[in-house]
Formats: sequence, structure tokens, C-alpha cells
Amino acid sequence: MKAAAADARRQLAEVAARQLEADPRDIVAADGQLFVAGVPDRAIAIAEAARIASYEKSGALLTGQGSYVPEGIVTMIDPETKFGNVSVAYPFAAQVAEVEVDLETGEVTVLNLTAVHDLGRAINPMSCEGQIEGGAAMGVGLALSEEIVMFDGQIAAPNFHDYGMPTAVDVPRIVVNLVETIDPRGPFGAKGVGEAGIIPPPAAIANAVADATGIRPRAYPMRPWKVKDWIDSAERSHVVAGKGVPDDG
Amino acid sequence: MVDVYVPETLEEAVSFLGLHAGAAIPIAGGTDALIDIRTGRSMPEWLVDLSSVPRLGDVELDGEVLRLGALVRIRAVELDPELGRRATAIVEAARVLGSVQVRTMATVGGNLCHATPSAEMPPSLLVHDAVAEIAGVGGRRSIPLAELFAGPGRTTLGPDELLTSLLARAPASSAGSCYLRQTVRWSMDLAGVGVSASVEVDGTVVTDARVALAAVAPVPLLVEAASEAIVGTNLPPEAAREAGRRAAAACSPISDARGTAGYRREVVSVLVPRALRIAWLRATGAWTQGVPAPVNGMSTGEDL
Repeated sequence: MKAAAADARRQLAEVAARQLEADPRDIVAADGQLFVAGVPDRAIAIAEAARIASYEKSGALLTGQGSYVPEGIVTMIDPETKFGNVSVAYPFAAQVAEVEVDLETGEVTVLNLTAVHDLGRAINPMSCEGQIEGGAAMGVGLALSEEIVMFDGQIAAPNFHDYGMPTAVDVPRIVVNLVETIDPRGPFGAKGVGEAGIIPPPAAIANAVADATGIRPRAYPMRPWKVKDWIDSAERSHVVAGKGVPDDG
Repeated sequence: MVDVYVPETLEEAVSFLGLHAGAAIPIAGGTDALIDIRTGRSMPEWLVDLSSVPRLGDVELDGEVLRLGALVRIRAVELDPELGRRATAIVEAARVLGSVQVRTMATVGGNLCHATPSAEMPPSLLVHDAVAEIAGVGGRRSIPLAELFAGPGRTTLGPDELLTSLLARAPASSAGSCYLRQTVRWSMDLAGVGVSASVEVDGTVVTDARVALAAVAPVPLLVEAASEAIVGTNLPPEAAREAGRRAAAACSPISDARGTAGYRREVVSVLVPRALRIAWLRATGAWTQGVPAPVNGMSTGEDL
């Protein structure tokens, strides 16, 4: 991303240099303007430079491209072994789920989710939190409800209604904590955040269910009838002493 | 291509339906009818839009008798404080149906006449002794609500007949009711199991009760054997559990994407005692008025 942005900036500088009859290497940017270093009075707006670049290419957008191969890595994936290293700076995350389990119906409700993510430098913290919350919401769906059900070879859940994607009221309160341990190899010290949000919730929720019930979930999604079945089997084998939900107040 | 006919009187509506039997269907909120058309489950030539027929959207309370017009919006039921006190089950069923957007369009009559086995409104109306008022070319008739349902997606209405309103019992005191359901998620879901109960008391002793179920049989079920288990008692846990066992024995669930038959039967035996308990607490005045029941009735140890 950083390399792509630099590529786009280089192209803009070339446009500005032509307009200002200067060397692209002398072009600097400040306050939305491009100008020759030391001569801010003769400037061209970045937006104008982008428009000119687009006109010169029959309306195509000015696009920067970039790629990055970490130091010491020849190729991302070894074509022979298929092993490799896809990132130079891996993020780390821990999430904590608090659940309520209806022992009689097997329904699991996630009450709270706390997501602590070490993502390196958070270039846009609000966007980082949003990505973690969105990922966690998908993780809740994976843990509890989302499933492609097949009956006689037919998909019985062909829409988001039957498939069981969580709605706003199914997503718990999510508290996000960003831990910015700067990675010297990441761009501006960043590690990454896009994928990390969805990975921990199923495990955290399953562990919370295990803590609440004494049974160890072994399959996702933990739809109510599966949870009920696990609880019943455990009770039959006397693993659970039986907390019991009061039906008499 | 579907044409729309907008009758201005009930007589116009039923005579048009009679003339175009099999080719015309009535439309109210459209939250089921339009999806059925889009998915090809229903292919009418005519939609008969009932929105201009007078008085179908009225809510009236006369003594103990509640009259709900067929075109009353689910959202209007949900937000009616007087119904919340006197027909709590009906309001609780309305509260969990679809989403706010769906409830704002959907109607009580539409929810009943679509005859989905898992529909929210039937069990709650059944425990309030609802009577269906029907108009047709030949005149009007009234039937107990349970007799409206013929099977999944089928009613006993003739091709020229319309459900016009429901008469339900809504006692002002010594009575309570409740609607609970089990779902995979909390909103925008169909009931895996729906349970409604109503209880009338003299002091703490149950003098009358109803138990009704959704999503566990081809039609909504009123289970008399279940309510008989608690009449004359002050609802000890064992009597409530016995009512649950009888309800579970009376239903005939299927296995589908929303649960297995065995699981559904078990959930009936769990939700029936919970629903009876909450209805009884309301009837005896022990439940704080205006506090809704947890959607599945689960006790957190504080509310019951």
C-alpha cells in the first residue's frame, strides 16, 4: 500500500513537473498543492494534477501500484513445496467472550466480547476498530449460527435469512483495544488488521460455553440443538453435575 | 404480469375474489405475499389491495372483548400499552416478529392467513380465545381461530372469503399471558418452537388456562390436555412440568434447517412450564407490569 501510494505520488509529480516546466524530482507536496521546492507561489492543486493525468489517459484513473517482498524472502510461496511466508509482520490478537447458555434449550447468547489486537501502527484507528468489530461479528456468526444446511443434496438455506447471518441484535457489545507495538519491517510500523478480527471469536465463544456448561464443544456452528445434545450426553455420562435452570423461581 | 384491484368496500372485495377465484389473492402488508410471488410460490393474476376497505385496521376494546381488525399492523399491536397489559401474549408475539421494518408493514390478518406453521400471532391469539370473523359473498360467519388453519400455507377460507377481524378475550385483572420462542438468532428469524400460555386465577389458584404451540405441527395447536394439568393448582413446578410433557406429547414436529423433531419436542416441554409460570406471575400480580419476558423465558435468577 505504501509502495503503491509512492508510485501514485511519482506520477502526480511528473504531471506537475510538466505543467511547471520543472524536474519531477524537485516537486514537493503541501496543503493540497504541488510545487517546486522553495517556490510555493507557482503551484498546481493535487486534484488538478490528478484530473490532467486522467485526461491524458482518456479518462482512466491515475493508479499507483506497489508490491513488497520481505527481506530474505525470494518468493512468497515456494512453487515446489507450497510452503512460504506470506507476510513480513504478523498481527497478534486475543479475544475474551462472555456467554449465557440456556441449559434447557441449548441457546447461547454472547453478552460481551473484548478484542485486544496487536496490529502495529494503527494508521487510522477508527477504521481499525471497525474492521475488528466487523470481523468479530462474522466470527460470532461462524461460532453460533451460520451454516449451509443440505437436505437431499439441496441447499436448504439459500438466503441470508435461513443461513443465519447475525443481525445487529445478535452481535454483542464489542470492546476493542488496539495495541501498537511498532514492527520495523511493516509500512510505517503497521502489521495488519483485516483478517485478524474473525479468527478468535469462535474459539473464545466455545471456551466460554465450555466454562459455563462443563462440556467441550467440538463443532461449529453451536446451534441450539447441538449444544442441547452435548449437554444431555454429558448429563447421561455424569460429566456435568447439572446446574439446572430454575423453572420454579 | 400481476394487476392490482383496489376495492373500496368489503362487498366489492369479496365479490371480486369470488369472480376471480384461484386467480386473485388479497394483499395487506405484502411481507409474505410479495415474497411468494417473487419466488414463484404464488402466481396470481390479480392482487386485491385491501388498504381502502374501511374499518379493517381498527383496534377496539369493549369490556373484556378485544377486536383486532385484520389489517392492524403488527407494529401497532407491539406498541399499544393497553394491549400490553391485557393481551400480553399477543404483544409479545408481535414484538419478536420479523424486524421493525417488517412489523411496520405486516398485518395481524396476513400473519394468520399465510398459515405458516411457525407464525408468531396464532398461538398468542389462541390462548386469548380468539374468534375469527369472516366475510364472504354469502354473508358473514365466525369460527374459533383454531378452525381457520388447514395445513402449512392453507386456510379453511373459501375463495371469496376474507378474514375481517378477530375477537379475543382480554381480561383486565386476575389474568396473565405470555409468548416465548426458541430461535437460532434473536431477530429476523422464524420460530423453531413458539409457545404461548394464558392463566386466570382466583388468588393464586388457577381457574382457567390455555397452552398453544407454533412450529411443531402442520397447524398451530391449542393443547387442552396441557392446561388441564394446572387448573385447580397454584402452579407447583411439577404441575407445570406435567403440562409441558403433555404439550410435547401432543405435537408432531418435523426436522428441518431450524431444528430436529426430537429437539423441538424437548423445547416444547421446557418452554411450556416457563410460559405458564410467567403468565401465572402476571395473573397474580407478582410480575412487574410492563416488564417483557425474556424471549425464551430463561430465568436469570432475578426476574422470576
